Amino acid sequence: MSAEINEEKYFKMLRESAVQRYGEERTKIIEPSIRDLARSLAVISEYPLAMEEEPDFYG
Amino acid sequence: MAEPCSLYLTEMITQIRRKKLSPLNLMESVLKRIDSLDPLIQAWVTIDRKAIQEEAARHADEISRGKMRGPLHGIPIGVKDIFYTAGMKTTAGSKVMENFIPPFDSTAVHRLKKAGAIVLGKTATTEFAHADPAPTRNPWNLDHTPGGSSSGSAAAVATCMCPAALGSQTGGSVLRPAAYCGVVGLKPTYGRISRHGVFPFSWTLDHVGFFTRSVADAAILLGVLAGHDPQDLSTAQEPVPDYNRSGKLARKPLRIGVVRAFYQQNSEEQVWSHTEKIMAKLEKAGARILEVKMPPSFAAVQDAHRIIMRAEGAAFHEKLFEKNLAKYRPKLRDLIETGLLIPGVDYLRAQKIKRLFRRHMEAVMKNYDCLLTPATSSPAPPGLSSTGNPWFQVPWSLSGLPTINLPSGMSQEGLPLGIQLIGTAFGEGKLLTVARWCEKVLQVSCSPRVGLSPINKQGY
Repeated sequence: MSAEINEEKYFKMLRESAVQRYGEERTKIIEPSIRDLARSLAVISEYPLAMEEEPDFYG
Repeated sequence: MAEPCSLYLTEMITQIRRKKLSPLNLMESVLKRIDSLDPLIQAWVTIDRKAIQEEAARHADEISRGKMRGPLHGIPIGVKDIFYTAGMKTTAGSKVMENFIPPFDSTAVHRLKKAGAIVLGKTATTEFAHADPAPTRNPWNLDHTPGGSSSGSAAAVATCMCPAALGSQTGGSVLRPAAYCGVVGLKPTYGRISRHGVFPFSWTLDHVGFFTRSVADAAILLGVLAGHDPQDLSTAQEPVPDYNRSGKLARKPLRIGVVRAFYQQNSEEQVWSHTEKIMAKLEKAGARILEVKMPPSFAAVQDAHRIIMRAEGAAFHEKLFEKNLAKYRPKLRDLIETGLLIPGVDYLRAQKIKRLFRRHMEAVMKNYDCLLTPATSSPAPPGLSSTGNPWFQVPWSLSGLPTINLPSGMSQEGLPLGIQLIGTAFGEGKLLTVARWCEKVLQVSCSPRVGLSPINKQGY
């Protein structure tokens, strides 16, 4: 999946979730931040990680 | 004789030990300094004058009876207003907590007091250490931001209102204000100093750090604060060395790795040319300056950090936010609302990248005594509506590696510039040794003449 398509997929998902939680009016206000977040989620979802890689919390 | 408030921490300690300076006189001097400057700077949010004067008198009395509580006996220290202080208001810079009086001291404050320090007062912070600014102004130019989130601590140390102050860093909240205000700022390794009793922002990114005016002063404070705390699961069991001993560098010449990738392209021209001049100066003094090839995971660190910080910030605030929505300021509200949308799987992927990046950096660091970057992309930006951009510090907050800001000169506008040195995990001893060497080579001592031009401007 291209980076743009992936970002759009995240943006759509986050936006729908925001409308459900906060309503359309508030969602419009935070839309630039939703866009930034979608971009970041797309970047990390494309990053190649080994299957064995574990998350880190207090390391 | 110099005003007591303008002495370095190490000098205050020596003079108190030799009974040349009384904690009472020192307290009077810093309070006088605060009275004259804080109406302009607005670094402090709470100072209980009666209590601290009584405390200083108690410390003076103990000295007369031959008792010293510890290395910081009688030294006034500032504390960012997100650290719990028993019986003293801790507002986190927010209306949500405006009347909160903690029933106990945070571990960091407890350790300071045990070492003999006097909590001078609470310093201004952005709301819950995020991005909604504190009223604090930059002492070098009142129309510029001092940086944040530890705004008050950095500005107070820069203006000799206290010799040292606690801060915290989740993105860039120690190194950035340190650079903007022209002071030393140390963010130790994640887990080196307890976060118990500190309002969290993001549990897996939060670091306790602090501000001083010299590297030697930072070494003293780190020795007091570092160590395992059973009340904070993230603190490490690593032994705490004597940071005050100027350790010898195993490798000669000193190998300093310069991170050009990302930093050069995102720095203002004057910042990068200043950094190159610093590199040349260090090289001339005997260091080997080598270019660092950053690992592939470096490309994802800003995004991973953003996701972790938003998700964890939202998780901490969720319930408080529901009850106090109207009291939250816009930037934190935005962070919480977007953070609540992050899917769990994506949050965990960001944590995987965090671990991978730290592992990659451990391998990179084997070739160097420390890494070097400009501390910030520009000098303190104009305006008070933003505290600047944390992106130059974010990789090291994510990796948990220790970093220190060293004031390194002045910008064209007469604002301080700094270099950021990065060490190995739990390698603060070595980092401080390298920083001491750089400090000696660079000979930069910043001291603002508040609201006017600097006293001893030393540009390169």
